[in-house]
Order: sequence, then C-alpha cells, then structure tokens
Amino acid sequence: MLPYLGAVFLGWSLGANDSANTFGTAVGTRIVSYRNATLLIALFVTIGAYMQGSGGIETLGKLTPQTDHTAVICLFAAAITVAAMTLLKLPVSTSQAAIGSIVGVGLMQKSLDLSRLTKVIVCWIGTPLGAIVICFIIYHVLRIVIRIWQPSIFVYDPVMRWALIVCGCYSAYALGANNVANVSAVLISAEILTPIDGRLFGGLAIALGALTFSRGVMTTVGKGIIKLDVFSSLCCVLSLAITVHIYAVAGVPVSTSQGIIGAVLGIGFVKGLQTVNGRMLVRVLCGWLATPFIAAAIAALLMFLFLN
Amino acid sequence: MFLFNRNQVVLAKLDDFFTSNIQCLDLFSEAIDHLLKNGIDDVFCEKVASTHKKESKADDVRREIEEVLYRKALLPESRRDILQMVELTDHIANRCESILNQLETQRVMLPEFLHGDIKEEIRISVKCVDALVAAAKGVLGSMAPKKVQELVAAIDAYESECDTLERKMIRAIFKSELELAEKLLLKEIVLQVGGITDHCENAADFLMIFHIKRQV
Repeated sequence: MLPYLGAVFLGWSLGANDSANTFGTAVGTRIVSYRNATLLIALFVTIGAYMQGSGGIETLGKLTPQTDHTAVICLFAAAITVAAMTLLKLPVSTSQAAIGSIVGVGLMQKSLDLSRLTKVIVCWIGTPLGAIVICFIIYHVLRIVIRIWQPSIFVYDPVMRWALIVCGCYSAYALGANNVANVSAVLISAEILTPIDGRLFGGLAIALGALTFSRGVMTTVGKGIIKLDVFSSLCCVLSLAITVHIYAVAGVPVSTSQGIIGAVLGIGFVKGLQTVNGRMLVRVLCGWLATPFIAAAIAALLMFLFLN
Repeated sequence: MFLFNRNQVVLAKLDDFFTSNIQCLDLFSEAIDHLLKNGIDDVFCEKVASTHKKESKADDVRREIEEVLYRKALLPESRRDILQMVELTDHIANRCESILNQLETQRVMLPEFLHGDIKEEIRISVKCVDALVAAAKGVLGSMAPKKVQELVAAIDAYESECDTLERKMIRAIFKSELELAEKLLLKEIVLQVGGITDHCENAADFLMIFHIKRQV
C-alpha cells in the first residue's frame, strides 16, 4: 500500500503544481474556464502518460535497481521535498525531486548509472535553454505568418482562442508523457506495477492533482503570464509543449516550470529583457539547484535509517 | 464557420452603430442648415426629433454590442478595447443631439456673421467623423498601419482646423454689438460644435493605441 500512497501523493502534487504551466494562461485570460481546463488537462495528461510515457520510465528505472523498499523511500523522499519546498514557497521541480531521490538511494546502494545521470543533467540544463530558443523561433515564424495573413480582429481572436486551447492540450499531453516517469518509474522498476499499468496509474495520479488542487497555482501563473498578451502566451505554451515533448521522446523527465520560464525568457529576448524580473529569476534558480540535492539527502537519510 | 458566428454578430452591430452615428451627424447638419435659412420652425423641430431618434438608436445598438461582447465574443482584451472605442464614438451622437436640444429649448438665433463659419465647421466635422469611422473599421479589420496613421493624422488636422474656426468665431462674437448674455450663449454653442471634432480626436488617439496593441 505504501508505494501506491507515495506515488499518488507525488503524482497529485505534480498535477497540482505543473498543470498551471499548460493552461494557466488560457484560464488567466478567461479563454477557458478553470473547470474545463482541468478536465482537458486530466484527459490529455493521462493520454500522454499512456501513449508516450515509456521513455522516461526506462531512463529512471535504470538509474539504480529498485526493490519495494527503495521504491517507497524514493517516492516519499521526493514527496517530502516537494511538499517542504511548496510550504516554504520555493519554486520546485517534481522531476528534479524524483530524480534527486533516486540518486540518493543509488548512492547509498553504490549502484548509480552515471552515464544516464549525466544525460539527465544535460537535459535539465537544456530544458530552459531549449525553450528559450524554440520560443524565439516560434515567435518570429508566427509573427511573419500573421503579418502576411493580416486577419481582422473577428478572425484573429477566435483563432488565438482555439490555438491556445489546442496548444494547452498538447502541452498537457507532453506533461503526461514526460513526467509520468517521476511517479511510476520506481514502481515499474521494482516490479510492483507492469509498464502499462504504471503509465496509466501515474497519468491518473497527475490528473487527480490537476482536477483537485491546481486552482491556486493556475491563477498565479495565469496572472503572471497574461501581461505578455495572448500571442506571446501562445508562443510560450507551444514552446513548452514542444520542448517537453522532445525530452519525453528522448526519455528524460524535465521540469515544465523550467520550460515555461525559459519560454517567457525567449519572449523577453524578443521584446527586451526589461520584462524579466531578475530577482525572481535568481530565486527560481536557487530553488532548482537546491531541489535535487535536498531530495537526494532525504532519500539517503531514509535509506541509511532503513539499512541500519 | 461556428467559430466566427458570434463575432459576425458583433461586426454587424458595430457597422450598424457607426452608420447610426454618421446618420445622426448628417441629420444634425441638415437641421443646422435649415436653422440658418429658416430659423426655429416646425421643420427644425422635426429634425431635432429625428436626430434624437437616431441618437437613441445608436445607444440601443451600443447596449446590444456590450451585451454580445459580455457573452464572451472575442478575447477579453479586445472586448475591453472595443467597448471603449464604442463609448468614445458614442459621444459624437450625444453631442449632436445636445447641441440641437440647446438651440431648440433656448431659442438661440445664430447671427448672420457666423453662418459661413458654422457651416464650414460642420462640414469639417462630418469629414472628421467619416475619417474616424474609416479608421475604426480599419483597426477592426486588417487595414495597413500606415493607412490608419494617415486617417488619425487627418482627424488631427480636422480638429485643428475646427479649433481655428472656433477661435475666429468667438472673437467675432465678442467684437459684435450683441448682448453679453447672447454672446455667452453663442460662445457655448460654438464650443459645443467644436466638441464634435474634439471627441473624434480623443477616439482617434485611442484607436491608434488599440491598433499598436494589436500589432504582433
């Protein structure tokens, strides 16, 4: 029962925190209601997890061998880290917490696949950078398209509305495909769940978080990005979806929060960096750097207590 | 397509609103012409009533636009801007009605020496409102930014012309042998007529910002 509880809690907090990155803008601009947004997120996260979640699961599953006990330790260490950082109001990435805790357990077991870990760390650095570049390109390409097309406001607005909804769904799909590994990789690796059941279970756990507890973060993200205007927001959400989807295919769970902040920075590069809040950026960076270390330390401590 | 249906209703109502404003100004212009030729008579009073009806129609259409927009047509930021544009344009019809009411209720007689300039001021005001409506339709449609800028510049030029005429007329009023009360009444009418292009200028300034905001 404990592994399931840990996984549900981790998936729930992931859904509650990260679904805002996919539909926060659409909800903030009142393009779609919060209720409909969470229903769409739940649906597409589950589909994404089921259809394309296996890459990340394989990577995390092979970072270190798992047993029932180590799976519980990994899940609880990650869950405690996410809960503590959220309570301290520090930005947190569930992917980093999940992988940090697996690394902590792996270090204690002295069986860590360093080549896979290196790949993961490279992808973490690549996430915001990739999102910056992708957003920069998307912004310029779409701008050219719109300047050539020159739609009236009565065509442009509905097109933007539906584009934002479609991109939000794609982004939710990518979130499910990429992040389901954080929830179910250790369960599958420990053979508590089959890969198919694990993907479905993880997807549903994330969907539960989106459906029950995402309003607060979604409102904050929505209000934060709405200042960018709908076109820029669309570019951000599309860049996030593409970036996270690429890493889902590459089999590395990354942070959607890092992705969306990278995309917003991409818009900053187009419109001028004065729009970027430097202090907030440092705070986010500190949170991201601290998360894997804290999760690894908690996991190592729990592992030490378990072994002794 | 179903995606665009509600917005087509807004577009049709906006068209109706602009037409009502233009018609209101045309009726106002006809009423003033008649007043200058024949003074305040039954025909003038009928024209005042017709202008009032047209202004009421513009108000009704404005309310209908608000209602459709609040039912979530367009994006919220566009809704807000369109409502403000409609609000600013609506001042024109209100102003026309208010001037005619003032002339009718206060039985103001416009002296001969003002006739030419008043006619000219109204002619410029009509051109100014036409340019404003063209600019508004352009911003809502897909007019090139340069063309919108040209229309806004034209509105600004019309407003300046009217200001010059206004000062000329006020100077003439106070140089005349009329009673002080009459002078003040006439000055008020002249300023009110000049207010039409002032409203156009305010609306045009807003349209320019609206247009810039819409540029990707």
